[in-house]
Amino acid sequence: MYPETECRFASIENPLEIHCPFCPLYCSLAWSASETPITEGRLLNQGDRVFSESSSCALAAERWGRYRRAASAYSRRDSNRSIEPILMGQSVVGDALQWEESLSRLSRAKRVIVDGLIVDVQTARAAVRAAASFRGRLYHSNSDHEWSESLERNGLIGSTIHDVALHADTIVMLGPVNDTWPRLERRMAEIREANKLAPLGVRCIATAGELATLWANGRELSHEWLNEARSLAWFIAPGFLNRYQIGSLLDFNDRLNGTRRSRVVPMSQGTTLRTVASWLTGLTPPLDFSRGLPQSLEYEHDDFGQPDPVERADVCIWLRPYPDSPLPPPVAEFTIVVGCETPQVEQGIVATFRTSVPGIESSCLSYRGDGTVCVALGQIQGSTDGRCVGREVLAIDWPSAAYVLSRLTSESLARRLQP
Amino acid sequence: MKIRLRNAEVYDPPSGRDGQRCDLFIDGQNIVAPLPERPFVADAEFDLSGHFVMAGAIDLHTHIGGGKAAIARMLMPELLRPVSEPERGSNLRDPLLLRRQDSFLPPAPYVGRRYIEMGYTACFEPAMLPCNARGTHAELADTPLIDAGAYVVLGNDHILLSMLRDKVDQRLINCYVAATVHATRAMGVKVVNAGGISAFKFNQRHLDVDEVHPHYGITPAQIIRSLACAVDAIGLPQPLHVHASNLGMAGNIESTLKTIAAAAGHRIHLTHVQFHCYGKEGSRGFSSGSEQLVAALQANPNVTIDVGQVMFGQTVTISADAMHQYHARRYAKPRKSVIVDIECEAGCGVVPFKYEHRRYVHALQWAIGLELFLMLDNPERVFLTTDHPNGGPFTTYPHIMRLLMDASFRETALSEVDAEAAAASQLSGLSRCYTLTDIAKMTRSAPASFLGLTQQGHLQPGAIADITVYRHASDWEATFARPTHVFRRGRLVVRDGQLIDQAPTVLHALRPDYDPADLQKLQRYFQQVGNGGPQMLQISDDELSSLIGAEPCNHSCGTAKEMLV
Repeated sequence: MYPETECRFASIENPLEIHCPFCPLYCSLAWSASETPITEGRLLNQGDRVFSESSSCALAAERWGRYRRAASAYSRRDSNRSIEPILMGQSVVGDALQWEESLSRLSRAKRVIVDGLIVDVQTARAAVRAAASFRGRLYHSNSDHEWSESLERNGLIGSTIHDVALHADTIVMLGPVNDTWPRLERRMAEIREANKLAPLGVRCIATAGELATLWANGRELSHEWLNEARSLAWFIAPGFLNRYQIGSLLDFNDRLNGTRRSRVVPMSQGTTLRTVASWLTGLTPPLDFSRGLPQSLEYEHDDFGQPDPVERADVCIWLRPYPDSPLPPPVAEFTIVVGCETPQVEQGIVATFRTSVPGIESSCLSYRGDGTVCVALGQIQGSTDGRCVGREVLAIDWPSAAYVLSRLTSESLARRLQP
Repeated sequence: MKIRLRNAEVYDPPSGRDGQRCDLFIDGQNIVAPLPERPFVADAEFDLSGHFVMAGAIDLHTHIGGGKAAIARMLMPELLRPVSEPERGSNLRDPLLLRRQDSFLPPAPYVGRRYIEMGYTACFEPAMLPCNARGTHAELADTPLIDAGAYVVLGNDHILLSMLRDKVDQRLINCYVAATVHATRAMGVKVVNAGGISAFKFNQRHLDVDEVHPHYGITPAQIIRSLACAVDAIGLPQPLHVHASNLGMAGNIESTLKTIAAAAGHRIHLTHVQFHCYGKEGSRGFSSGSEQLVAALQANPNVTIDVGQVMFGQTVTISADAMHQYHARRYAKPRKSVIVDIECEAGCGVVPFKYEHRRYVHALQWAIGLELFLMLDNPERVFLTTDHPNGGPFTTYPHIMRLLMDASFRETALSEVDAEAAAASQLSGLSRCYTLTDIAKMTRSAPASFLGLTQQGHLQPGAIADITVYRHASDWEATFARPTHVFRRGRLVVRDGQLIDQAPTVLHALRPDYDPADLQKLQRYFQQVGNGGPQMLQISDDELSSLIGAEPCNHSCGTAKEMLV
């Protein structure tokens, strides 16, 4: 089913550094290979420094914990070797039937949906191309529509986390930001310490009532702390504000910039797909390719409602990068899950194609919450040999979602063209 | 494949051909000279009687990647809905390449298509932030059919400014610049409003070339001098690409002249210089500074320019210069904008804008651009750009070429703009007309030489067979808008102005040398921004070819010899 490429193992002499892939903080975690020997081609991360470091972060600990099994051997690549997916002896027995059935369904399907959670650029590129090639629809069920709509209406004055850490004196957390990004404050504190800067003032607004009070008083800058802040940043938890509150915040932020610097940092998911879809098509999801050129589906619905992704289709390709990513809704006769293993309950899933986890098992790119910056995830560094940086990567236990999507697309389209 | 182009009327300044008729021979990806003892047996022949031929054109400054355009598209989808156009006989496999109506901000695949249909075979994104290098290359890889590359933005990054504040040895700054270019696979270094974007993050709203930065205690002049020195020292073919201070402000010609002085004899390229060429004279307090600038250019042979010509109509301005874009928000049309600080490296500002021919300032901007083209008599030092999409979309290039080549057309166009602006400009007194050789220099040989692309921009044996064929017509705009044939790396990809074949992107990158031991000495600066520095940004050849999906083409510095990987 997948290409089988010989994987050469190499011993790792140097401590390695990896950027934690699970949130935009770009936490740099050390991985000491000397303390964690390779055993039978596998580098077990249980108990190593990656795990112990990340245990201070609930999000990372949870996700790393699920991936103890996935910690693969490293392969040393040189610049001439392809990074086609490597299948390292994993059993794919049974998948061949699913693969065949999926190709057959896709080659006959009149209505195809591509949906799910997409967190990296490569998968986003493949998803847009798949939807375009099948003349199907591309949804993004996890996208924060309120933010994209507010951006279209108002624009914004924003920032990124490291800039806030260095340039702000006060940060305001709107909603449970720390629950979603547990190391955010610590990460910013580390940067401020490195630059010998005073600690940031932190304000938390956890309820709608507190927010209403802030609006009432804040518009006149009667809050003492707001009045004294010369450089502010507003971190907004996903889903905490509705579109009207976002509009109010953006207006307020705009006004504050008359006398000081103030920026919003929406910690939303879905930025990667929006960015990639915009450069590939000029538009952002949800998109309909049924007439050839992409059309935005948002404008087929009323101005205040989101498009309804629950429509019947012949095939739904559902992206599920993490084990705790959403499960597919029963919207299609046949659902192909690309990503993590999915319990085959109640959803009527027929085919699951296990793929590598972005940032852990495959190198990929992701955009941060502000929608402007991409970082390399899973980037590993040989710390004593600066010129060999990037030559050592995690071996890929499974093919990437982008690769599986591209193969599904090209092979089923080829079948469509067969007489 | 072997191809013979018969009776080609060739305009190729490097070989001295100025319209002479000859045959051109293509073997594989290259132009060749057939050996006398071995007759050239062509697989295909084209009779080009009635046509003229130039190398593929090169756009050295066009914003076609790097996140800014994506934000702009997300900001105003209402202005960018695609409208399809009928396309007969197309067998293109990629649905994202379908023909659509031109807009001021087409998506990446369509950018590639429109460029190649206009005879452009190489285009360079001028503002790639180091932290966004991967995203930029992915976006460029999705811009098919052309050669591409990007210039990395430095000069507002916390690392460099801290190093200058601490007065570290220039050798270490050279190392940092080289390592950043190497890691991000850049084709040059650009500085945008040196120090100004950073100052804006500290709530300073203005920073002139000789003003002291409120936090780092250094001046933009120091930043420019240090970066220009580093670019020369590490052997980059292209000089430091400079977006000067005070873009768009009346009287900013003074800042531009100070910027030239700040370079202290090092090579610099002043980009979209039309936006930096304004005086304060006249009743409106806004006048042309083109005479002063041209005089300065004549006195400083180390300086080149591209124009950033303004064209009338709706567009969007996208720039790393967040300080300027914050000021420009008040002129936004439609009235919305995005201003973002990015990762202690620079910023980003997106402001939609409409240039109107009856507005004094806009009309004078248009005229100043043309003055610069026509006053500077050496077309090898002035390059054709609109700073796409800032001055207007790249699809207006054929119109600009007609304005430069046809004095009566120019006169008519001048009569249609704001009369006061027309009177304030010197354009009516400039009778010079560009020749085909001038166009070939400005859009082919000079940018290739500038970028160190030794195998492009000319038609001599050994060159890559990027060839554009035009039909002679009375209307230069129609001629340049629709080449009859475009060969890219030896393959016919455009015929009669229509795309007929697909080809992947080739990504050019420089690989300057540096001493890793020197880089280690800078670790504390990298820790201050928490990103690990250039080492963490490293993009490998196989990542580019397998993961990102473009064909890497590396150039070693100093020799700039192309090495396809």
